[in-house]
Amino acid sequence: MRELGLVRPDMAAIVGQPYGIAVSYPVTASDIRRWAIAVYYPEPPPAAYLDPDAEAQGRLVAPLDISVFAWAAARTEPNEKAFEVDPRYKAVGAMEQNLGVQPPDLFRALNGGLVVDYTGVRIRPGDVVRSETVIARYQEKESRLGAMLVTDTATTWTNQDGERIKTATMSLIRY
Amino acid sequence: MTDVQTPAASAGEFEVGATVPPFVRTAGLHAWNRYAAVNYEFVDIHMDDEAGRAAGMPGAFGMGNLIWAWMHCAVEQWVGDRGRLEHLECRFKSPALKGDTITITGTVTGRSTADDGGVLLDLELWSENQTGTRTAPGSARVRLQPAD
Repeated sequence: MRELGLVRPDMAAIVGQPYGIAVSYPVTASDIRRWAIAVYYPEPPPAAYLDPDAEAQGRLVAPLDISVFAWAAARTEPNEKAFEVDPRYKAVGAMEQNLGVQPPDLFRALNGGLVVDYTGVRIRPGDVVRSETVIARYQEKESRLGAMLVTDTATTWTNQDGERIKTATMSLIRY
Repeated sequence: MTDVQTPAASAGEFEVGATVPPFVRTAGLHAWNRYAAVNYEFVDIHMDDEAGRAAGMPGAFGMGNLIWAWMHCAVEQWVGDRGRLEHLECRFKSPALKGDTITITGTVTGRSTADDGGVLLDLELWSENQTGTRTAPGSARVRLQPAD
């Protein structure tokens, strides 16, 4: 396939480097219940989510799709490489600046999809989740809209015991 | 591929060709606001018709993340504690509009036996609106508990 020149050497060099490291507040039973109630509305969620004894008996686990960072993170790791970029880059989801690299001059974007792999390790009340993101891959493509840069970012969550919970890969198409 | 009888599974429920029971919800502010409240997703396009129109839609429109959540709900309601979702992927092709009837459903496209004796189901899973348009096509893999 013809190289389109969208992936500069400094961009290729940051593939696999972690950024956006955050640690959650301890997850609460209320966080879990409210998430389940919201996503099942207007029907009630499965009974286990509302069972008042489930937490004490260790049976309460969070819905797989819960976001434990939605409102706030307890801590974020300082990132000395990060720098501010023009809002036009942020508007299309550019992330290279988090790793000290100027994003490409592509100012239109599409969501290319979402892929998640769950390990079977569930989030329970009291868990503290660590999130870390890497640029997993760059791909160049040609389409009727012109040359496109597909960037896969992979975010991995682990719990306080270092057990991997999930890896979510999002594809951002910039052109 | 080895076929394995799964405890408590009704006949054919997890066979190739079986349907993922539809999970049906009405799109609109009642659902979107509740989701925004847990996911801190207070974005104008999901709350305000004018903002939705400025984005080229007929009015405010729903979150892709909520469709994603409903896909999880559909699998969870179907499988329950007999197994777990281990892989899900989808593309968001068009958003849900106010009043749309959104159905999450799918079919079992493959069935195999894992090394631990559990059963792996491959699914085609999607979101469709009341016109039958698939607004978020996707696929999934479910791991059923091993037989006793």
